[in-house]
Amino acid sequence: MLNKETAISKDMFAPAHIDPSKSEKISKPSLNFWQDSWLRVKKNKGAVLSLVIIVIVIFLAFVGPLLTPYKFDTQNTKNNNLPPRIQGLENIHWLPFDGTLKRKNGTEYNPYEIREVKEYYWFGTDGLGRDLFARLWKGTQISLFIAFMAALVDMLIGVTYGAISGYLGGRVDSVMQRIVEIIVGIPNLIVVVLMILVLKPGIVPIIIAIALTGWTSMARVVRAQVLKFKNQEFVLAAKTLGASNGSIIFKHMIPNMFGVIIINTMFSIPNAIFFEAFLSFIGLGLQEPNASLGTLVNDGYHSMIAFPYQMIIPSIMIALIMVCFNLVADGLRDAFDPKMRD
Amino acid sequence: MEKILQIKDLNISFHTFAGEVKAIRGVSFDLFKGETLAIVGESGSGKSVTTKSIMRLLPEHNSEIKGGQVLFDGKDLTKLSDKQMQKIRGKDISMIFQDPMTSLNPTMKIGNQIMEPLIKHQNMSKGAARERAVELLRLVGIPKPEIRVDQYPHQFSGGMRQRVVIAIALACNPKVLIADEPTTALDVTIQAQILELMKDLQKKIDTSIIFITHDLGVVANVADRVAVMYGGKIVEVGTADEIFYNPKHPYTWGLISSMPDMETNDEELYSIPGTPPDLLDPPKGDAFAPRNPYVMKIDLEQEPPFFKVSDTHYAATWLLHPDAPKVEPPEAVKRRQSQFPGVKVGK
Amino acid sequence: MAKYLLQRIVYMILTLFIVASVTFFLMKLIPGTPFNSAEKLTPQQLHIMQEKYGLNDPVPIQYVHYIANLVKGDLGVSFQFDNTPVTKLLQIRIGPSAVLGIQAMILGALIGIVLGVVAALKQNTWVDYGSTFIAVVGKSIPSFIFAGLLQYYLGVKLGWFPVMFWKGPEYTIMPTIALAMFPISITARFMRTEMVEVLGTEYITLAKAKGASYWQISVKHALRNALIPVVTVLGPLAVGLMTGSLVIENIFGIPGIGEQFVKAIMVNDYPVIMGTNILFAALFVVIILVVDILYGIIDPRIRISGGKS
Repeated sequence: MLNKETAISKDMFAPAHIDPSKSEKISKPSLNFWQDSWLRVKKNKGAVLSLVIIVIVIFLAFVGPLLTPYKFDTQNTKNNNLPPRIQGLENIHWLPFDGTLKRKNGTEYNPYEIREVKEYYWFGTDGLGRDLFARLWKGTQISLFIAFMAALVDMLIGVTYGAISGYLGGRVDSVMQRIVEIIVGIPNLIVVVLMILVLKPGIVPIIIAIALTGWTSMARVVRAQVLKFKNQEFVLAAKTLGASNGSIIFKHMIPNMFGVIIINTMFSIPNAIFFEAFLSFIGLGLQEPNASLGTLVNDGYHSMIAFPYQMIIPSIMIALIMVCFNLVADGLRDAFDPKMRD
Repeated sequence: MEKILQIKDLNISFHTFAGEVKAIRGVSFDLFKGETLAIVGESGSGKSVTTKSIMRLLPEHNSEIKGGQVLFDGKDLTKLSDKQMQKIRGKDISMIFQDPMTSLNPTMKIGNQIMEPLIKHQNMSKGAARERAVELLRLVGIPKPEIRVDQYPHQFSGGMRQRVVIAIALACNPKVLIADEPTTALDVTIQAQILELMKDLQKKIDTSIIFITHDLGVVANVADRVAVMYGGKIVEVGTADEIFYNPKHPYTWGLISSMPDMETNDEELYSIPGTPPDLLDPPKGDAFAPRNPYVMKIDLEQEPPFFKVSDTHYAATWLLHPDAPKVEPPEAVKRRQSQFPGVKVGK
Repeated sequence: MAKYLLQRIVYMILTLFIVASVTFFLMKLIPGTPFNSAEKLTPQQLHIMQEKYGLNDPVPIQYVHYIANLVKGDLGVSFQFDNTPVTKLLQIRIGPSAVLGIQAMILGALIGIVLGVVAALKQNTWVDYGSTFIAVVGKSIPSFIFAGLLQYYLGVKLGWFPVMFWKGPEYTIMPTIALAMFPISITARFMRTEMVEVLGTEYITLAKAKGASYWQISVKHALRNALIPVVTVLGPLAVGLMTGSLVIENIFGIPGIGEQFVKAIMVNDYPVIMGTNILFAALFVVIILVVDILYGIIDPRIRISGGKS
């Protein structure tokens, strides 16, 4: 048991001095909130990949329309309903970019050759001969714009409402909460449809309609957080130092809730994209020649059997964006607050 | 005395987000038939992990037994298949948990929860198991067991629920009972009742108990022998009297000094400075060195081996090395030591 | 319990009243009349039409009439379908919608529960990731996109199922699948979270310590406790199904309430729009209440201590 003794010399039993401050030293570098969260998000490969895809899609939403010589709203009926054809990929037959279509009886034909069209439409053209590549990115741009604006408005209303309700408490809080309860009791789709009927379809009305229904969950989350923080020391300290209510809420409380606010906003973006597409599909979407992903899918849907690419391409884009936003939101939620559930 | 359970050089790691946490680093101890062994230490010292590993109840996805043996009945429990392990759990070795509020299934009647191990291990019929459940409830001191047997956990108070958990654990007369801080979550008066009940039942069914706690008061009340854990290792082991009246390890000194007794006055009550070691990256040498007021150079270089104090008493500290300087233990410990010679070793 | 129920019912009625009122006033704000879209009417004809439907009365009087009729269960008459009472239109149409909704709900809940449970039991394996992926995709892709793709690939290209219309049980398959995607994903995610949480509780460890087998633990102890809270997602699911059905019914040409609603929107058929809104809102509040009561019945903890607030 004591065979290691040989290596032990007497002087090793002299008292050692340990700097007491050293033992309290934190051995790992301290991370701030953002660094820590980023480290956690980074572990989630799905979320990171989705984030990259989202960035690329946003970039292309602005740059994409400039990449083709065709404008999203220029009609060229001579070249209508042409299938996708891409230089270089047109000879690879199993790719859907060879410029061919199938007839109802199953035979294949190449409308480019038949109609002697020289141009290359990467994603094909629609019934009015508009370039679908340009339209797709234009539509993505508008859909994303609507989604981001709606999420932003949601956030502003929700945070303000929730913070006031939670901070003031008492009667104000209970009245405000009863109001939220009643609003939550009305299905979103009713409110959205009614608002659009009243305001007439358009970008701003759609944003308003979506934002009006989405803020309640944000308000609830923020209220719960404010209630939690209200009695914590840092808030009490700020109070004793004479900080005003506004500065307590906005300077001391809200920075501490960035996590939950961001997560909630991330979830409301795909939600807004969904409602935009939904409205387009029941005929309350944007008007021609404007395009959103929803209207593109809807237009494509009507010629699905003959020209399936017109529906499939924007469908894939919506699906991609929705999946990516949801994955990022999930990743953020797990990173910021594993206990929070949907 | 007959050894019923032997733990030999057990090493357990957890794989976490931050890296490998070496939670148990070479733990060995024996459990004798009919005795109560208390394992004490602060949170994170590895007491619960050690006992959970005996039952193989550690989460499979992130924990790993890196080495060592758990010998029971001639078998190494770390090598058994899940099926074989199921036959031991609840029959030969059973367990009581810390929080009675969460350790019972909320949507299952109390009776069914007690009957489960009886039906599983003793092939009892439903009717017989039910009768035995009522009997067990009576045994653990629950009034009107015939009615209570059909109730749900939320209809019981905390102390009553812990009695039910004990009834479940004792259902098959286990050879070893592991009690993981069974009284920590309870009120002080209820604590005393539960401890009395456990001592009483131990006599009746002659089981060995491993009692995990951080409360030295509880240890003094129930334990025959005590193992003190720090930083994933056992640092001192001995009979209850040896540990209480003649402790040798500076960590045990710290624990005892921080326990109030009749003579302490307010100014004297002691707390061990510093924080437990980070087991993600265990320090070189003695893990306790940074918090040890008697620290020597060697503590920072080499891990101390066990030094024998008596046949039953060992401590892992360089202070027991013949070359080490004589140090004065804290007042509270000295006061106790002065009482020690009068007390016979062992109960 | 009785007091709690009463309070809830008062809230329900209040909510419905607000929905009805808001719907009414918003309808009044909408520019245009139901008669200016189709036929070209002379001002006199228009006046006669409006007189007939009481549209020339002052708005407050119209409102009082409307609410009074509503209390009697009269939702007015449709403009587009020759003065058929709206309640009758809804009655005719509710059958297919209900069949579709119930089928999708059952299919969705069953598949979702299985996916969620399997994912939780096989945590962090490919089974778990696969199930999570299905859940994310199902939640993300709008049901009408999914419906369109199903129609094209399974209906047009492969010809497995009829592409459209409502002529027999086989016609319900594709719309049911399309509509069930949302409940599948919501239930699967919720079930997984609940199951993981339950599997981590002390009573599961205790069950293990008793020597219970893997199946006893996962089915007898974990599944039962994890299933109870799943009842609470039925509310959001029902809403999702209502929203989805509007478009799904249109895509598949199903003669249900949703299809009629969208048509009514196109031609400004106010009474049908208002009636459908109120029906949806009523269904919604009733489902939420039923879910809460159901929850209390299944969970023994809540059963004794009265309703949860």
